[in-house]
Amino acid sequence: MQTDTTTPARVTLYGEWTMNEAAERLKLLAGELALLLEADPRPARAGIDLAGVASIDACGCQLLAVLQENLKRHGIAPEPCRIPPEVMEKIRLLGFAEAFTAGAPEKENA
Amino acid sequence: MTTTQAGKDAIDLKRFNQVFFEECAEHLAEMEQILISLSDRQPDHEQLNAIFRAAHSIKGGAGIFGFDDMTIVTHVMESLLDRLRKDEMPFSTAMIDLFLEAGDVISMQLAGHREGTEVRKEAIDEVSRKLQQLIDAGTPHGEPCGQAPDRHPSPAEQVAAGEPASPKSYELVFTPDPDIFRRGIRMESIIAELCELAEPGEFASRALLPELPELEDFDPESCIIQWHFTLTTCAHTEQILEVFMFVAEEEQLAIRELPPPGAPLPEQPDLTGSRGEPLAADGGAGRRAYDRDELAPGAFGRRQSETDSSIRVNVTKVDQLINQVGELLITQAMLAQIAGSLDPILHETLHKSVAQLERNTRDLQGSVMSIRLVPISIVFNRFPRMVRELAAKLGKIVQLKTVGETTELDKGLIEKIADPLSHLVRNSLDHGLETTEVRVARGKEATGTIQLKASQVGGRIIIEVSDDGAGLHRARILAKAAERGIACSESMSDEEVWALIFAPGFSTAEAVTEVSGRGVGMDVVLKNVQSIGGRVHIASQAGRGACVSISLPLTLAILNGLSVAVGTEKFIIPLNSIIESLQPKPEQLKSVNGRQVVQVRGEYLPILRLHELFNIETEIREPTRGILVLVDLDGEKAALLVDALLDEQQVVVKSLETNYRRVEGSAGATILGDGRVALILDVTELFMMQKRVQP
Repeated sequence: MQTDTTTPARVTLYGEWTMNEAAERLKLLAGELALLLEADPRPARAGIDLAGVASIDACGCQLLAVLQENLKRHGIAPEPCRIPPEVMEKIRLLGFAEAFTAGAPEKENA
Repeated sequence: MTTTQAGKDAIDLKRFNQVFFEECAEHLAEMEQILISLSDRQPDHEQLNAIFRAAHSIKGGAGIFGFDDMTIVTHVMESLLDRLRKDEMPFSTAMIDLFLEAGDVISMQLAGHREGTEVRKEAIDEVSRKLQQLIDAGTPHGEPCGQAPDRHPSPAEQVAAGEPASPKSYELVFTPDPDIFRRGIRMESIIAELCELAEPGEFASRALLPELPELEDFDPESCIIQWHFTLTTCAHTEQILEVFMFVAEEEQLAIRELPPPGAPLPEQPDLTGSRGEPLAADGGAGRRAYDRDELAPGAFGRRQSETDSSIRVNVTKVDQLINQVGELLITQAMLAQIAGSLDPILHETLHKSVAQLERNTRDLQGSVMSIRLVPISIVFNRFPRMVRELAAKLGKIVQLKTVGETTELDKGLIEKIADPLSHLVRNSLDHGLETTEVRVARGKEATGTIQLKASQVGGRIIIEVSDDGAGLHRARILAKAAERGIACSESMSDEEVWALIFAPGFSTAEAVTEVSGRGVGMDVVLKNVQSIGGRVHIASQAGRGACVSISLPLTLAILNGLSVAVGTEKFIIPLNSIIESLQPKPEQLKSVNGRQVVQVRGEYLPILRLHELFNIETEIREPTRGILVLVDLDGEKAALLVDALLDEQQVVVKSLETNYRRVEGSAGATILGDGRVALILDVTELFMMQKRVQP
């Protein structure tokens, strides 16, 4: 399978990413992941656009972290982007800053 | 997730909320109990810690379960209490009222979430403002380490007697239960609270995924995160651990103090373990570890509930269990009856087994019934505050005494007895006890006394509300009754006159006050008490006080009874009312005022012929041919004439009114072993029926 190193794929997320929607969101992400894995050539990077995310909790952060790890496992570098400040603040507080800010230092002051 | 599943989870979350609601109500009750017990005294350190702990627990739980509005008052209250317990500001008795007011506001918020009742925001703002004012008034200048609102003095601080604490660094590893999200726990609230303890810029949070599941197989509601926190804080270890008190078990939380920067690194245990491995370090952690320390701040007040190993079970489940045990008792009685008809020699093993089954079901019934029994202190505990506030409103000096608070009563009865008791206490306060001036003028102590007393007498619970006030006014009651057109006469006995106050709308109160005297009440009290199988009795002495006694059955579900035969019918006589049974000799039978009585050890007891009262054909019409069952009810004795005694057995009480209609003289019915229905006799009603037949 070929890999497209030039054009990053994009996964755009909307709405609430909390425990209440977790099962539904998993379906969405599993579908997106399947599409990325089936794509030919397979993208080397995947932008995860969080601009439309209204709120997030630990459950939502965990789900997105698992998605990112799955992407990495299949050779796709996740690139979270356009994270709303209040969502980023929550991500930092919950200890997921590292996963959502590529190349950021491990220690994040909340 | 399907819609059905979503619905189920919503219910699950509700269940967890319910746990918080119940715990919150317990904390509020505990807080109020301590505050009321203070009267106007200064609380000791333990009491302050207990109140602090209650406020802190409510705040923590509210934050975790997403009831953010409930953290507002509790936060300010907690801050004030923290300063008080650290002797940073003096305690004033006015604070007791303010804390009680704050408790009321939190109760209102709780009711808002629990029952959807109105929440007055202005009350929240008002009490928060008052609490904050006290904090501001008592805040010393030059706070040494002021970031953490919940600072506890560290041991070093205490030794140094007021020296500012130096911040220390800690590392925490939290491996939560996989169920934590499903339980509705909001980790962001917990982490934010932890962050609040840290010095500015000295907090780090890191979430790790120790395992990496395939996305498609992943259960998104299951938590696989392990959190690592580092923080530098003036707070001590216990305070850090308190943050996790609602969510962490001992083995899920590990904490260790980090050496100061530049210090040589001592050998430290690795806190990072895989999920499920014990991570305890530094003496263990988590809620349980915290509570092991009897001297830990705030430990007082939690001891009872925490050391008692208990689980919360929905009452409907207990009721279901009781019903099932009831059915089992009927089945057992049926088996016993069938076995009784079989030859005891040929079927010896069967007979032994049936006897064993009876013992086992009896034990099981006792155990199951005890689940529903709760101490009456649950009700009594609400009165100290009520008396305090009403006495202040009425300008009276009143002391409340409670006796027998550990007496246990069926939970269902406890819930229904609270309102009648409140009414009786209000009546005593408002109408029973005189004003201080009047009391002094009458040569009484200035302080009036109201006593709540509970005790178990036989199979019944007696609750008394008594006062040392003026007592009931016989002439005034008669006059009011006549005015209302209620049948009465001067020749009525005191007891009959007191019973007049149970007439609907009857009130002799000269003034309608805010407390009572609206003319509605005693009839409702009587109705409520009777609806749960209770009776009300009044005793009064002019100038000495009055006592209202409520007699309640211990439980409504199952009773021990003696089955008796009258003609072809069978009846159950509650065992707790039976003194003895006998076949009288002719010389024991006498006639007093045209009524036949039986003489037993010098006492003359009226004979109640059940066949006459229930209109049953029988050949046994004379006491000398049948059996007299002597019964005693609250001191009133009588002899019930029956044909024969059949068996002593436990019976399941079934409501006749629900299944058929009310039958006078019966307290319900039961199904016997042969499948027949037998009436359970209500001895009090039998007395009344007899009085009507032979006045």
